[in-house]
Amino acid sequence: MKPKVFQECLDLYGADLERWPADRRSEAQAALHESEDLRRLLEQERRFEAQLAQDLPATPPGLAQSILAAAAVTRQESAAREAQAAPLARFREFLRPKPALILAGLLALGFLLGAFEAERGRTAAATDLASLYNHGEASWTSDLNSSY
Amino acid sequence: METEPTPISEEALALRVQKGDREAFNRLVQEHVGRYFRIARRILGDSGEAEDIVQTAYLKFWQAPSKWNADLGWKFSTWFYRVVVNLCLDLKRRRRETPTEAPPETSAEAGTEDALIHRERQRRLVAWLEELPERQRSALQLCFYEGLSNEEAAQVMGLKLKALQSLLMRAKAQLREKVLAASGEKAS
Repeated sequence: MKPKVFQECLDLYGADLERWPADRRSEAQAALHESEDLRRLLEQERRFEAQLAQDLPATPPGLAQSILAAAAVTRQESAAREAQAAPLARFREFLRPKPALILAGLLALGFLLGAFEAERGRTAAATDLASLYNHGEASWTSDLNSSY
Repeated sequence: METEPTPISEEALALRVQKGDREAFNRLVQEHVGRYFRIARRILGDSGEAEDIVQTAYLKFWQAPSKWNADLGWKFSTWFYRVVVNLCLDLKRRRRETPTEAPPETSAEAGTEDALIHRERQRRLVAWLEELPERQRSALQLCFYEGLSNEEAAQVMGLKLKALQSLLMRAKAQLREKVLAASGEKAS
């Protein structure tokens, strides 16, 4: 492995060879045995990384607690919103069309209309018969009167 | 005697949060908040803003945990880094309209000569890191400080692998030159 390629790998994967892709790592390990230049580059990268590692901002101690407190408030707010919305939601639910109920209602309406129509049909037939009878009787009476 | 909680991966905790487990959310925050704070702090250069961003990101996840879809092949940490990075970049875009100069933060104790030297070195390092273009800084933070693979960092930043690697190489080359020059070495 040439020093330029080795330096590129150091830039990309760092001084810890364990983090390198397997093929690159084995190639680099073999090359390190052979080359003083590569060993120097690796050592230089380690020192550089050690310097960089000095600037690792510490997590503020109260951060997790303040996030959890804010999440608890959010939970309470959404619970309150849900509670406030509950009567409205129940009303909306009441208004929402219910297919099974509508079907049952239509069937019942159909049945009632059918029964009503049948009843009306029977009544009309009876009325017709009665009017026929009345009409027949009248004409028969008038026939009788006229013949005498 | 208090017993240590059984270690559970961040992934498993996030899956439990999706089922409404509040305790899992508590653990998710307590055990993993540091790494997201660090990336936000690095991008923004300000601890207070970084805290706000991380809090916003966690609350977003708590309110809509299904936004992370494990079935799409994203690790939770990769997805959550991306949420944090995007929030930071949005804030920076807004901030550009009203620029403010925040003094660099240092944590070394003043007093002894060693502490002063340490503090000075750290101050310089912070300044050099902050001189890097934003995307180079993010790439360096994710790969070097947070230990993400190049592929994961590219996913977080929404870049192709080659683009991420190019950012990383340029960031390290610039920094190496300055760090080694300051310590009296010559960069190769």
